Amino acid sequence: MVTAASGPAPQAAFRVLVQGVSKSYHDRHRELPVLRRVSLSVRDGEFVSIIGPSGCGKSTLFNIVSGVVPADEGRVYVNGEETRNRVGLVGYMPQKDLLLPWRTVLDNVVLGMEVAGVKRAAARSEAMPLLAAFGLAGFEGVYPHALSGGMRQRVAFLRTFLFHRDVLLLDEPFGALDALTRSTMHEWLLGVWEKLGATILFVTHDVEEAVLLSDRVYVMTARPGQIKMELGIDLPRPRHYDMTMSQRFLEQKSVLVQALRDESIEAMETMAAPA
Amino acid sequence: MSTREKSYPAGSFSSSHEGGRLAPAAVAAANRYALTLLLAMGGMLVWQAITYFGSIPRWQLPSPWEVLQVLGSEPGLMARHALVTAQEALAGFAIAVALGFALAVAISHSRVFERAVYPYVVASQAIPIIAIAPVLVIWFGFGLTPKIIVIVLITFFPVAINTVDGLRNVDRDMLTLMRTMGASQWQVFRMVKFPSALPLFFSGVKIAAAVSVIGAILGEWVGANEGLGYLITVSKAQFLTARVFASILVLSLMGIALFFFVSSIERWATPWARRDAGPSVDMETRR
Repeated sequence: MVTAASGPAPQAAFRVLVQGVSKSYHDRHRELPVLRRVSLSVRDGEFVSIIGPSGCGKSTLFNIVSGVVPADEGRVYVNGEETRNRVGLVGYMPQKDLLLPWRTVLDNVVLGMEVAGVKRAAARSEAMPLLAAFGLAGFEGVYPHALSGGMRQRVAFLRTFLFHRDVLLLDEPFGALDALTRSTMHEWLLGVWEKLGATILFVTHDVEEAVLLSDRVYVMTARPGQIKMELGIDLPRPRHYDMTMSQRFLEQKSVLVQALRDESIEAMETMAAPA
Repeated sequence: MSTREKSYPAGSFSSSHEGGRLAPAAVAAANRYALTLLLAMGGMLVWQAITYFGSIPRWQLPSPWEVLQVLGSEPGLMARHALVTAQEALAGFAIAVALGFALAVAISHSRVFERAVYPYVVASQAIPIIAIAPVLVIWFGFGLTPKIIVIVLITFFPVAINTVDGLRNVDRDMLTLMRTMGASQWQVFRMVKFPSALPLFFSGVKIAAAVSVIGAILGEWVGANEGLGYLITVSKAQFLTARVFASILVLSLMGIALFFFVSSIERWATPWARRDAGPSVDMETRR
């Protein structure tokens, strides 16, 4: 029997602690390993990114951290609490914005609060003043179909933020946006994050995005996903887009690009090889 | 900033859409249905001409004018029978919508219920209603009940089938999102599944609305002593063909009225589905 550690538990020091998590999916004929002994940690107020080739299990990892999917092995702690079969500990912003088409902007951003039991009127009056900070002032009564991609992402982010969790999981939130909108959103997200002091775990396959935004970056291998590398980004804060041209930025970017390219090549070869 | 404030005033709220703009709405409706009405009038003129110049006996084909005259000369009679049929149709329709919806919810939420009941829902449509209607008369007599049963049997099906499809077509990722928030089953149903299924539910209800009047007539033909279906049977036997046509006219107007009633409820209940609701924002105006 393993007894609970006396004294400060190691998981208490981290907002998110992932320890040796493995996960496989099964279909009728075979087992498909998706994650293999993944470990990572995020401290309070940190911005941590995970990059990896597509299909490396990043989204599965997020589903495990948010408690929607159980891990086969390993443990996940959020704020020191184990998340197995526990949902609602983190704010999760999925890849698709998933705005409810039948709800106006205002009613979409209060969704999480309503689920948590806040009365709609109270939730609305809390959300209203925040719309301006998210560039949504004047759009509270508009249905999502009338919004641009960038605005939809901001609505989804405000919805995640208003769920009031210390930890936010952002799964490729800007993947579907055009380059110009995306760069605007990066600067906007940096501004919001610096103001809010949230803890963010961010999934992307865009290296530049990861370097620009993060304090630390994890590189994952092709499936089954493993942590291949961890890189601290030592660019000063606050960050700006001009930094993407700086020597240090390019150095750190190239380290990650190299690691990622090895992985992508391997992933291609694995796919090409007969099963 | 300023463009945004100027071009999107409070009108972006759907509720303020309805106020004070009735007159233009009426004009728009008139424009929309002008061609339909024109076609109807053209058809009536041709019909009138055929009965006037042709040699068809009036008991075979009365002129449209004579049909309208029946409505004018026997308004009490027509109204009394129309009221009965309307009652049957509305009662049957209401029960069918409630039953269809309840069945759909049960089918989409319980595997056991689906396996047990869904095949019977489908099989119920293979029953020739015209064949079992006499049995219903034997069991329930000439009153409202057998007609309502016939209507429910015909109209619950489109409501149930469409709603089942609507509830099944929910975006899986939306359900996952709700789960990450820790939403209860009831919250998921109320906030995601139900609104997501509404457009298909209304498609089913609109079909049911159009068909419910047909069901009422079917029920009356088999055994009744009042209602427009009964009036048609009696008038036909007396070769009062103009009255048969007048009854048909009233029946179709009833079906159309019910359909538009449902349509307007649909528009009210699914404001997001109206593409004209609220301003549309594109990237250009944002920058």
